[in-house]
Amino acid sequence: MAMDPNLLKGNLDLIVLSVLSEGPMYGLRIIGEMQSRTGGYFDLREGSLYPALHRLTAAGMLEVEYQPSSVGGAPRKFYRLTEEGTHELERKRRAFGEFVGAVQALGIVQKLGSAK
Amino acid sequence: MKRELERYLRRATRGLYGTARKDVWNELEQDILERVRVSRAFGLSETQAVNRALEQLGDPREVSVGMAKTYVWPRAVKLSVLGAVGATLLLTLPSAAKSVLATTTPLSVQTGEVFVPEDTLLRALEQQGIGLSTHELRTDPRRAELLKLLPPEAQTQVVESDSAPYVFDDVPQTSLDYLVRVARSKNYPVQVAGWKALEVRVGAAQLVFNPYPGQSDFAVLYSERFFIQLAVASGLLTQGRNTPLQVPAREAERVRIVGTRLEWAGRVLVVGRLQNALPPEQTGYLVGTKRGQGLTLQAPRLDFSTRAVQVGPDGRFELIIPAGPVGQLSGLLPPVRVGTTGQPELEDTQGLYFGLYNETAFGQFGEFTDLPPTLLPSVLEPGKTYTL
Repeated sequence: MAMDPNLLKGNLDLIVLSVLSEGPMYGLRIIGEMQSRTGGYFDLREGSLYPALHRLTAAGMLEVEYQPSSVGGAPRKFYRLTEEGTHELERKRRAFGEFVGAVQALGIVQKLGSAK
Repeated sequence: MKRELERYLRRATRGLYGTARKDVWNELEQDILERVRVSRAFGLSETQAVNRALEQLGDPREVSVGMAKTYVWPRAVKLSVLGAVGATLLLTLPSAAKSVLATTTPLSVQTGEVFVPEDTLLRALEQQGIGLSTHELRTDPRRAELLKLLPPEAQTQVVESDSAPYVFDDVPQTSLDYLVRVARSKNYPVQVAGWKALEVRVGAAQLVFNPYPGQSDFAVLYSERFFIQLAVASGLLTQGRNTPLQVPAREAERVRIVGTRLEWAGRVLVVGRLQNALPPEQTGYLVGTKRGQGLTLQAPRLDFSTRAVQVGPDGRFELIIPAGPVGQLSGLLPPVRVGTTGQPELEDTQGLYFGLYNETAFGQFGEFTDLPPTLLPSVLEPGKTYTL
């Protein structure tokens, strides 16, 4: 099923922070992780990812480190969670969990499933 | 590969400066190179691999707009909150109107486009006897026509005319380009002057835009729509950027391109004006550069059959193109930007642009010299014929 871009947009920070909780990654690796771990459901493009990464970095949620590139050229820029970012991830996870719980309480997911 | 790659990166990082630009440039470049390497491993040719990588990355404007929200817009807001002095862009008016705008100048920059709060601007203009209403500003009939001409993907990015053209920080903003067009449609005299500090005059009202403190790159101010304003104020009517036009040779067997040479930012550019090709109220321009011994008119979407240009004793040149059986030129007009990296060149396969980039080295922007208010004709060497 195709991804709803609005759902992704509304939860992009949570998704990015969550992926980076696995360890430092550079942009393309993050995209690859999102694709592989969701069976291709999250097909994020650089145009959406990098503004989010830079915004989260400016907000202190992420920090960067540079490592030599495997394809030559400038060093790769790796992003990783800061302590503040880790706290923010936990906060977002809780908030999202509560939202999902509320959705389930309304029976929305069940209704959608039974409509098939 | 390099050319396509650089073109994409230049567009994706448009509006960013210094380390921010370099940072994003490097990140995207690394991604592209890695994607290319993977595709090559699967047997794609280099060209195929690059095309595929750029397609996967998506529209470069998406990147530039997203980054502008992170880097450019917050800065504009911050500076405007701090006060007028040293703001990203200062809007000032002479005499009484000056005080109106001096206290409220929340101007913002959006990757090459400058917007002004419309109510503030209209009030200031009114004090100078320029009577434009909000309704007029938003319902310029030509705007609707323009939108129809835009490709579908561009239309989705344009706000329709019955609403504010643009809302930033909850304030409706008006593009100066739009203002100039509407003012002209109301027969108000419009002038554009200045280079390092752009001045737009509508009647007696004078709008002065100053750059970022320490900013030496005026590409943002002068590229894209802003350059259209220059053209408009020079007495030319343009229809907006990236507008596909079929240009018939109207009631003429031949289309003439009358051109003059400009010294611009240390480069030689040639601006040619199309005659017999556009409706009388419009003027189309071609842009070329002088390379080596010859003059190259670069217009990838235009089909020329004539390959020579005569330069008159006054330095003006005239290129005559037989209308031919097709009887039309096809192109994206107006040409609004030329990116110059090493050599001036037309960029963007989607159309002709004419603008100001002078990237002598990455991240190093050359100083632009003051340019007279009109496109002052410099001259090609008299009496010579340049082979195209």
